[in-house]
Amino acid sequence: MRYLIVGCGRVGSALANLLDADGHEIIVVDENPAAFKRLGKHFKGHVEVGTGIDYDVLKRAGAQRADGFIAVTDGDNRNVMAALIAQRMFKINRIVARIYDPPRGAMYRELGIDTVCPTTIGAKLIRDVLMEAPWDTLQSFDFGKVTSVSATIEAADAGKRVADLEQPGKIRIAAIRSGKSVRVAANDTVLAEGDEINAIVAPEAISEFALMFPTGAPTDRMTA
Amino acid sequence: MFILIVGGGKVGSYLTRALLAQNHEVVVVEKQERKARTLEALLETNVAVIGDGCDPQVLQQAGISRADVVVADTGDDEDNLVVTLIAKKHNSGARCIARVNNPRNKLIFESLDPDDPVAVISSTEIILDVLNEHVNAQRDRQAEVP
Repeated sequence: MRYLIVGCGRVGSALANLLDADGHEIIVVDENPAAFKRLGKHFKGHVEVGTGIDYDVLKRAGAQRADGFIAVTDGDNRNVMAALIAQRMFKINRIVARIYDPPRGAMYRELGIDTVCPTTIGAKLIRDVLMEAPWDTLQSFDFGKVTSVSATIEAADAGKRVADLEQPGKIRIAAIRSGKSVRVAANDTVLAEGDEINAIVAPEAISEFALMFPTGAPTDRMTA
Repeated sequence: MFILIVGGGKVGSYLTRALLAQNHEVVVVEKQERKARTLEALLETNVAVIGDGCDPQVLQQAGISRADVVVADTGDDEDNLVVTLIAKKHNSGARCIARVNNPRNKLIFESLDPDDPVAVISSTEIILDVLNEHVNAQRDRQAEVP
């Protein structure tokens, strides 16, 4: 796939390298030619100097042939404008814009632009690290209205059924990993010590969930 | 009429002065406090709201929902675009006027609401048009010389 990334800051350059390593064709646009140094010497994609909110610059970068468009400059307004140009003038299907201000992210989603808000995600990760939560926040949906977390079953909960740990509308256990096998949880699945559960948790139940699993050993966190 | 202007620079202040003289109600949203104070001192009235005009809450405080006309005249196209987006969302009946620097950006503003298009003003384009007119007139005159 061909992806166009506007903004070669820390996130833009890291994303460019990730997608490049996955074998995609990457074009990075930035006003400041010095910013491309961040891409490092292994980057195989292309660069284009110019502002991402200019039709001609995006056309030079090959926007008309892009499968996806990512706007990650340091300005929210600039990102939304670049995304709108990509959507309306170049008809690119997949568009993602970074928006720091959460209410504005919601407004832009109504326009058909997927937004990622590092403010909300960052705050949650920092909270988890600060509280030394024994569970991992895997993914938040719609600004944390639902969060997917994982936790390890301790001796105290061994022998309990999935339904014993669930709370209707608040905590739902989705999958269980025992050793190397993973299965979809059923109400009467009996849990064993060391099992890793993956649960979907409502925001009001997050602290409750943390209290239910206070001593589990932190596994690899998603903090990197 | 109630006219909400976002951007209290030179364009914004001259516009405000002219509109106040025509007895319109005007509020100017300006991010920089110093600029807002200068504007108020110049016009000798309290017309300024200090805040980021790209923040929906600031525009609501400034009265966007009852505005007859919303003018986005900051020096940055992306800021004017966001002001226009907020205006279309919070007050679909208001007439929107936006200033753009890059004439290429006109199309994006016009695509926001095809049913009630934004009036887009590009001084770059106006200057270009006048220039081209002049160039063409000169050429015609030279062609007439035997």
